[in-house]
Amino acid sequence: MKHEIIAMILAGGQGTRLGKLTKNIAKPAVPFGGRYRIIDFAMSNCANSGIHNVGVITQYQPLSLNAHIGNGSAWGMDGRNSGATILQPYSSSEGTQFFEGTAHAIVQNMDYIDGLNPEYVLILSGDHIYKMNYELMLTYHKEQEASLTVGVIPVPMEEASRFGIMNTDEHNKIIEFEEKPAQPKSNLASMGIYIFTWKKLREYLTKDVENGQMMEDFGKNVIPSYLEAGESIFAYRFNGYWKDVGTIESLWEANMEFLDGEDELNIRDRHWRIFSQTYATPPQFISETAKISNSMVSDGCLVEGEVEHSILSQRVKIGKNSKIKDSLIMGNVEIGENVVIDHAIIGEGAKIFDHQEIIGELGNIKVVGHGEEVGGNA
Amino acid sequence: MEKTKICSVFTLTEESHSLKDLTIKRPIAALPFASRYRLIDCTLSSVSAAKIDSVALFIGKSGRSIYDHIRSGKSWGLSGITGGIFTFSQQFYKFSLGMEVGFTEEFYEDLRMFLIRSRARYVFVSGSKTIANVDIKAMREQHVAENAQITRVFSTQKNDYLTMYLLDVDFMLGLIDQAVQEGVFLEATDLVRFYLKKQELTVSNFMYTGYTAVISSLKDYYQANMDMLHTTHFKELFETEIPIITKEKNGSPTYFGKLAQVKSSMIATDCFVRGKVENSVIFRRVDILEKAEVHHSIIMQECVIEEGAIVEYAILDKGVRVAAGSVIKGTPDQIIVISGRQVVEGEWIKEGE
Repeated sequence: MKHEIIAMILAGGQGTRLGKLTKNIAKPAVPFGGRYRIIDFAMSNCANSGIHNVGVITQYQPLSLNAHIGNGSAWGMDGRNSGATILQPYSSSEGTQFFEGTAHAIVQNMDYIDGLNPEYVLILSGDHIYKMNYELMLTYHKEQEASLTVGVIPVPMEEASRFGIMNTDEHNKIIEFEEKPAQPKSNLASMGIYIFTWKKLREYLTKDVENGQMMEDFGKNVIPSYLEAGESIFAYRFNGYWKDVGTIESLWEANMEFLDGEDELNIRDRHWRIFSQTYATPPQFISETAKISNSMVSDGCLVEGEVEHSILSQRVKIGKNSKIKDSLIMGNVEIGENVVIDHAIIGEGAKIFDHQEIIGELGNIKVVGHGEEVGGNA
Repeated sequence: MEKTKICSVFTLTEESHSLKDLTIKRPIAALPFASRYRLIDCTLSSVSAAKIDSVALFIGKSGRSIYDHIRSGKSWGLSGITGGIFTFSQQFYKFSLGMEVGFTEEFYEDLRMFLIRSRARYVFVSGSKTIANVDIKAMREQHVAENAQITRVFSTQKNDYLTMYLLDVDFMLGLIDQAVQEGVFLEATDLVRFYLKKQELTVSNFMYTGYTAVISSLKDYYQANMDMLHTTHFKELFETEIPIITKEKNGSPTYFGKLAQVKSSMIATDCFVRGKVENSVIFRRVDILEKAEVHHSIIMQECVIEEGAIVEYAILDKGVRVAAGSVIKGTPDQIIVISGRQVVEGEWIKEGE
């Protein structure tokens, strides 16, 4: 059975800059927006783009992610000729090998890709928040007869030195790639989204394995090899909302953006839905002592206190006289009475006992880890 | 036939004139309830919790809204390798035809085939207008322990029997045969009730102490929804071992505006609440604009309450738009019902007693 295109989502990273929030779960499994997990965006984009075969490469603390993805049914990938497969490092006759880098992860999973026999492979990271139609990118890749198409997004020139920058000619053909250049020659940043013609990529990867070298990283190894050999690489420009929520501050900011009017992400657009794993959850109940303003509240919440400019994820309980402000409360959190939470992120399943205060500020968001208990007899 | 397997038969043909506009286009079973459910979800969830995988629905008319809601039955575990959900629509037509040309045993063919092919030992027969959370497995245990021919549910809260019965499939098939011979042609629930009254049978009463509402009138419907705003009732229904499952919708969290004032209300996902909401049940994708007020009301999917409009003691069916500044004011005894997709302008006020 041949598929035209399959996707490989790199979801193995730890996301160390998210501190407590990624201590026990991988970054793509981090909750976002009151009811999603970061990987939902890549998964949903695939589903909406007609890509129904997705390999999710996990490595760091994969259990939450694996449970969340399941068999891919939440994204409609449990039908015929479709599937979401979790790909963890496994042992074979050559021993067990962990993934040493993005390209290496693909090398280690060549058997999986060959099994689906695709013409094109879409490589994505599971780390970003955005809505994108990959079908359009594939059409472009085919039109340009490229060996590789890299998704790029224009960034402000002052910021360009933070990214992998693609320098292109007037036809959008990539002539140079610079990782975090001190003097950027262009402002087109790589989004970590690649469409490879599989046959060609496979050649390069196997050739290097045979030479005893290891293609570790797409940016560092694969793209330079392609450029050296004169392969045709094109830049596909993306102009929508795209966010890397790799730090506590950026995670908090991206969530607050839902509340602050613009909604560039257009999360509610039903023509491009973001699907997520769903659970039987009752509707939210707002009690007579509650006060909610400029906030988002999800299913299963029981609100008896005050909530201002905050996001309550599913099944959050806010006790009487508690005040939640400028904060992101993740799922299944229980907050007692007379609690004050300000400029904070409270991890999944955490428990905040009566009279506790968790007060952060802009630039210094306080974090309570998943399952943590604050107060009580802890 | 498996020794303990239960199948389930639902009769969705209950009379619904008293629910007026709300049931013109849908059977009672499809009435929206508690912000995101339909009446049938409660009993269907009980069925799902008892691991029943074969369900038959006998529907009065076309059943479109039921099909749209239940689809493959996946949410309730009814789309597995075995079992399934079997729907038989146009039962009203079948009855009319029978009245005209006479009934034959053909009338019971669908029911009979379903029962036999389910390979179940027991059948749970239920109506579709009761809101309750019944432990059907426990019901079976009692049925077996007491060697009953029919086990029925008695609700202590309502102090009355509910239209829910458990019988051996063999016994049910026997009743069908008897009915054909005696010229009795009724829906499954009515059939059971008929012979319960007529004959001396070994009957076991299964005590159900949880929340119960039987929706026979507009008032019942309004009250059941309002009951959900009380923690005790809510918990009795929604926080038991039996989760109430409904069709999944992937909705996004509801947004509350800067000037929102919400108290004692139940709200679904995908709403924008910028005005005042008190003592109300709000369904999905409802927009309540600034300075709008909703009190003691049920607002169904996709309604829009525009600026400064006031809705009190009312039920707004799907997609109603209340124009800016309009007023809909019912009273506790006279709930105003606005049928689907209407645009309301001006004032609709009922004088109180």
